[in-house]
Amino acid sequence: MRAYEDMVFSTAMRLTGNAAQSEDISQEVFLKAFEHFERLRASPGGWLKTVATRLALNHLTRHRKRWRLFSEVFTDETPEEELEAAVASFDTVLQQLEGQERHALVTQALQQLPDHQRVPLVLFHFEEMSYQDIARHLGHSLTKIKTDILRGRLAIARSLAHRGLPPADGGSRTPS
Amino acid sequence: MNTRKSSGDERRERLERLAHQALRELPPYRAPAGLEARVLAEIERRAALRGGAAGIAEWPAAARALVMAGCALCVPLAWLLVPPLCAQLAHALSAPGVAHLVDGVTGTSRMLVGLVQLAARLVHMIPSGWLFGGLIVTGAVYAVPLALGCLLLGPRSKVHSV
Repeated sequence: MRAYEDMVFSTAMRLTGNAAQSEDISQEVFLKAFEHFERLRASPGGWLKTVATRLALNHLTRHRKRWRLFSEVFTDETPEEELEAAVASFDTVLQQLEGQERHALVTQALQQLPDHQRVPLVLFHFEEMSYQDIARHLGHSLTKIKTDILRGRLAIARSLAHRGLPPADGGSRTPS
Repeated sequence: MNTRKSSGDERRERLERLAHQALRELPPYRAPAGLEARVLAEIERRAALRGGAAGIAEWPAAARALVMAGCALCVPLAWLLVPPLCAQLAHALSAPGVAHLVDGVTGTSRMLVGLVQLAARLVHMIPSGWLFGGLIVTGAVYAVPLALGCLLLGPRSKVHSV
């Protein structure tokens, strides 16, 4: 259990963004593992990750109607200039920030995303699910999932850029 | 137009790569220190609950043998003890004070039988259409909320298959 508890807790934490809920989910995952010990002998990490993801998603579906309302009214209408600026500043920030500081800022930016952007983003980048699988599991259209993921990435890029780094010229940081 | 679209796609792909790089290099969260103890305590609690309610097939062999022997012993004991107990009971009921009580009970039971017969006649007098209508209304009162609950809660099961 000690070898996997960080992985299980991280999976739940990234999806829910809430430590108390993630601890409850982690406990439930390990209780299920205890009950189905024979099944997880072949690939304990994969089994635990799958169950943690499923339980976290089940937890999130209880609040699903709330975040569906927020997200379905938007479409992908990001101006190209804005997208270009965001990509450039994101690249610059990632190059200039030191490891731990970068991790802290990215973690914070990820946690600040609304559920409807964070959940598909985490499923895509951490759980390596395709857009189609995410749309199927969350019960949304493919277009909406792509839009939410794009907006999530942009929000992270903007959040890092707002920490005091100039957008694209690679200049020095201003004190925050 | 095509050039503009493809450069837009390139920007999106670059953003995806940068986001992937930034997110995937994040270290895992540390699980709370008390998680393991919490899980073990819950396993013990559930095991204790399960032990109390376990079927006889899961009991230890000695306990199972004891219960089987006890059950087997009940048959000859009943064979031996029931006739003298019945004789003693009959003797006790024939005593003067108790016989009066038995008469009272018999009278009460006759009255109850009369009441049941009266109720049966009353039910017979009610038109059958009313009775069936009442049954249908009662069924609908249970079925409609159940159907509404199934309709409203049904889509949640989708994520359970992840």
